[in-house]
Amino acid sequence: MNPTEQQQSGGIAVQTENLSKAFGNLIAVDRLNLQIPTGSIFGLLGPNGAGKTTTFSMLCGFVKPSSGSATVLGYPLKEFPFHAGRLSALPQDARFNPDRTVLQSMIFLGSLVGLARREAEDQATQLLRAVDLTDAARMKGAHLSHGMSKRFGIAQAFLGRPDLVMLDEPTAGLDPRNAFTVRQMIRALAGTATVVVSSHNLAEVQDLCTHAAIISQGKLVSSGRMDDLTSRNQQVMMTISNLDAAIQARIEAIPGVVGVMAGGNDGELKVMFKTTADQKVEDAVSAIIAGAIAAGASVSGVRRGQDLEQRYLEVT
Amino acid sequence: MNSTISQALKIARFDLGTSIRTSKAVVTMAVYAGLALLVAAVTTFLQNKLLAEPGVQEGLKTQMDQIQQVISAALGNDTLLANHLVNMPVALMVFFWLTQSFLPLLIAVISSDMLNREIRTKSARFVLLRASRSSLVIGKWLSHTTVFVAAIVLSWVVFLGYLAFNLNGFNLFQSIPLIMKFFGFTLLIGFCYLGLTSLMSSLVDGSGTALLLTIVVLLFLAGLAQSDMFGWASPSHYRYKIWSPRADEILAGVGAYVLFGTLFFAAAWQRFLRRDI
Repeated sequence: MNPTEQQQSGGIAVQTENLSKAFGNLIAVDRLNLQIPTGSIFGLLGPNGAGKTTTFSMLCGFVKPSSGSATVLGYPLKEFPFHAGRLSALPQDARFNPDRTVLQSMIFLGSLVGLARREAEDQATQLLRAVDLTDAARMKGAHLSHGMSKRFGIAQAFLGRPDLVMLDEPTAGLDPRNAFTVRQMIRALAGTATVVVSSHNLAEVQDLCTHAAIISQGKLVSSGRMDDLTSRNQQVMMTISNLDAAIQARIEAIPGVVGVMAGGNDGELKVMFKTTADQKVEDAVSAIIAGAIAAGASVSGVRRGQDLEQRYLEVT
Repeated sequence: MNSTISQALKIARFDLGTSIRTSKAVVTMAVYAGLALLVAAVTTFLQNKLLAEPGVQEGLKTQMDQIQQVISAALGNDTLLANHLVNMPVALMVFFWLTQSFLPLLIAVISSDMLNREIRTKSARFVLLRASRSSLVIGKWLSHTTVFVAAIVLSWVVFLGYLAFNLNGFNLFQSIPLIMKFFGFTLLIGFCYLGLTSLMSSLVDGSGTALLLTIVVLLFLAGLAQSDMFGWASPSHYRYKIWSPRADEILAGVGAYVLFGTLFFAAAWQRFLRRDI
């Protein structure tokens, strides 16, 4: 079985085993064990200096690991064919050739993944239009603003037909319209490629990603499906304007509810539940809401799961 | 391997295009051609003036033995080499000697950012997602070699063109075998020192620092060449071997330059494969 078949059958696009990187005495990444499922949109979260960019850099082959190993699309990192165009990325802080125009650089990068000149030019033009850089296509790299460079970086990451796209802080520094466009471009890749997104924007990651991992001080502290990380299938947060001990006790007695606790804000109640084997999560949530109303609760808001932010703050 | 070469050619073409657009290639060629023209003008002026003095030509003929002895003494009593040299056109000798002496410095000035520039700006990362590190190194080397060869060809054309029209008694066609030999050696020297410059460029990220380091290493190698015990470890040690009329000496010189060039380049390549980008 070749690496591609292994990757497809195993369903793992990226796997790291005790991956570590030290810069002198500073341990940037510490025995990281990470699994990124094939086809997922995977969020990589962590505070500044957590090791996200170093992890990205190792997986893209820019930085050599100090120890440990990783497989990318089924290949050991050392043997990964970086020339095959299967991996693309938006590296942080990388600048474009200052002396060539945006379009020339795009066509060149397209040619490296095997696109014919005409095809590379067509794709480049489309992608530059998507990131609102059509007018800047003839500008030299040296004259691009930070935001333009970022959009150019995103456009080049979508060149060709990559199986794995790694985007380091893709929307940082972009205006809301461009950030929205970038999120749409990432969503469009879902199912055809695995996308790894590193971001500080937790709401964006929660909205965009199917899976996530949280890294802190170079170590993995939490990882899994977004639904599990946010407990979407085990918890609802209800805002009840007339919440008191009696109503809380009646809600706790609703079938399927396994526990309740006060939320962070006034009137918030965290309701933990379990579904039965033949019950859909949506049905369980509906039953809880109906039960709460029947118990006399004046429900003014319901949210499934907890915010990723809350989870993030718990583990970092 | 095919993929590496094909990618390297694409990278070389793009890099060369950048050199042309930024005028770097043009400036390089202009510098080489300008220096060649300067050397041609000065040597032609001096030689024409000297030979025009009454009795000088006759004097040179009668004093050839003494001139040969002086050159021989300067070359460590190598009579055969001295005899070989006195029969060469002076302007050609001077030009090749200057080329041997200053070409390494010119290469260092022009190519010290060969590998480190794109590492410094991290623009190499966009390329290395799609091309192997080997193809980037080969592509950069090909691009710089192309500019270097074009500059050398131009400088020789300018130099010989000037001589052909201005130097009294210079027979271009008669000198062609010697010109071809010197031209070939110039390319060889260029290969060797382009290798050294690429090594320094792979070791140090700042182009100014890389240039300074290359100059220090060049001075060190020039000094080392004088050592009785370790002179063999410097390419400068072999510079006069390629002047020799003896085939074995020439081969030793050529072999040394090829070997040093290959070693320098291989070291740069290995360093680039192993380093963080």
